Amino acid sequence: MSLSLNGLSLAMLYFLIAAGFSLIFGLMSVLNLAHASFFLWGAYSGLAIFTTTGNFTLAVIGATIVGVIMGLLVEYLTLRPLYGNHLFQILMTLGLLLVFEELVKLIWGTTILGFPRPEILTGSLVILGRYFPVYRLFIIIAGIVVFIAVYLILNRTKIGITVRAGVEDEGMVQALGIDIRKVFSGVFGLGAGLAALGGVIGAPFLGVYPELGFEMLVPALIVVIIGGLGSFHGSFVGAVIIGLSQSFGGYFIPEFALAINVALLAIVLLIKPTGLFGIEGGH
Amino acid sequence: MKNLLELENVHTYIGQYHILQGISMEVPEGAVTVILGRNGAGKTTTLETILGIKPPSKGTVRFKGEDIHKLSLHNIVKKGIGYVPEDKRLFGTLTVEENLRLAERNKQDFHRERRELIWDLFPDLKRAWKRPASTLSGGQQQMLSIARAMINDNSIMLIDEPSMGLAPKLVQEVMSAVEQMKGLTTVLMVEQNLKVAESVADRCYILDNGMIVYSGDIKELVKDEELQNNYLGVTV
Repeated sequence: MSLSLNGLSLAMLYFLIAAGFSLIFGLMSVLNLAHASFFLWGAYSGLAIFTTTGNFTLAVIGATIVGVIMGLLVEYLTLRPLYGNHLFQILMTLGLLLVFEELVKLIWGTTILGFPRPEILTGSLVILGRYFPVYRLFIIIAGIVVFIAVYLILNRTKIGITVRAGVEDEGMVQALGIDIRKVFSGVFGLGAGLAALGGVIGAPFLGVYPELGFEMLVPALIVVIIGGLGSFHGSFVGAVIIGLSQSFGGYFIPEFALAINVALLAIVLLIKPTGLFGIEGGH
Repeated sequence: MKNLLELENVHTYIGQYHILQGISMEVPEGAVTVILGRNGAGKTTTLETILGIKPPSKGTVRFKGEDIHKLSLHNIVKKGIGYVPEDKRLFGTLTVEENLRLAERNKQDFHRERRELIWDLFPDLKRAWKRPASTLSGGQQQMLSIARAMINDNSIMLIDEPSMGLAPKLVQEVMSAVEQMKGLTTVLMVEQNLKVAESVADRCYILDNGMIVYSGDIKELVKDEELQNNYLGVTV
């Protein structure tokens, strides 16, 4: 039970990174390796706000806003001139990933920093005679709430319909009189904000250190591919699979934890090359 | 009749290929104008040039008296142009309703009225309202593609080969929709099938190798077998 809870907490953090990662790739064909930096900066900026104010809610909101602003700036300043040029995009986002990590080292140093859990989220709950750490439950609930909220936006609002249509055929969206650039910026900002949110709520669970972003990048990539590039609910399902496999694999055969995830990836790709929920022919 | 759309000495390249080689065209308001020609003559490129998908390297595209060839695609469309592409390009994962909702850009009252009109014209779409577009038949998809352009108060509709790949009965249905549009808007349509074109068109142009080789009344063309043989490769 504890392993499942641990796996699901991890899954929600993977989901928060992977959701934006996947939508950005689906919509703009940009494999944004710097996406993990938003998670990293969410953790550090959240910690900075929390140490200054002592208010966890403020830290969560502030870190998410930092992520959104970073996302908008990265899209506008560095990726907009490179749309359509995949090689340059990968080089640019890889470069940004390194720069953002180095900036963190410059500002906060290289040591692991602790992010104290807020008073209200410490301790355990006893349900049916079993102990459940409150903070893990909080991460799982936060992840599910975000999933439902974004799912409703994508399925019930015109903005959401536009994003889903853009994932299929952005050229035709423009031919309906919609400025796809604005949609790109919006999704990039939202995706970065979700990753930063993942960073700040994951920080008390994972610790805060400069390599945190890079460490989250590989599982997030696996989640995105398993779920299907461009599929929002795919990234949720993929995250649950990888979170649980990471948790159980890491406990029983720790030296093979990553290998199990890669094997899962290979199996999914062999059975369904577009990923579990990927769109056939989508870009 | 006033011209709604005018092309003047338009040249368009795709990569290194010179596709449109100085075409000039006038589309009168309220009429159905058809562009005919063989495969590869530049018909689709003409529509894409008007829309800014393939902007011209030289020449002018004027819509309602305003030069639009330097504007971006979405800004050109917002001037009041509906587009029905050759391959339909529906959003397969979106339902019929969502495909139409995405296209809506006028006032809600207007769309409510237009939905009624679309349901009258294409009852199939009403029945499939909540179904993903990918589950529709080829004919239904063409209807949805036309309906998507009709949902707005567009001044002109650019329709690319609506009869392509459809059974004769469906072609008739689609053409009767185009006929109905006549009263609502101006139509510029690309078509390869002269018989289909003749049933709705007032005026026509023939494109050959990126140049206009005939312009005039479609009835004159129907009578002129030599012209048909030379540029269309078929006779009616």
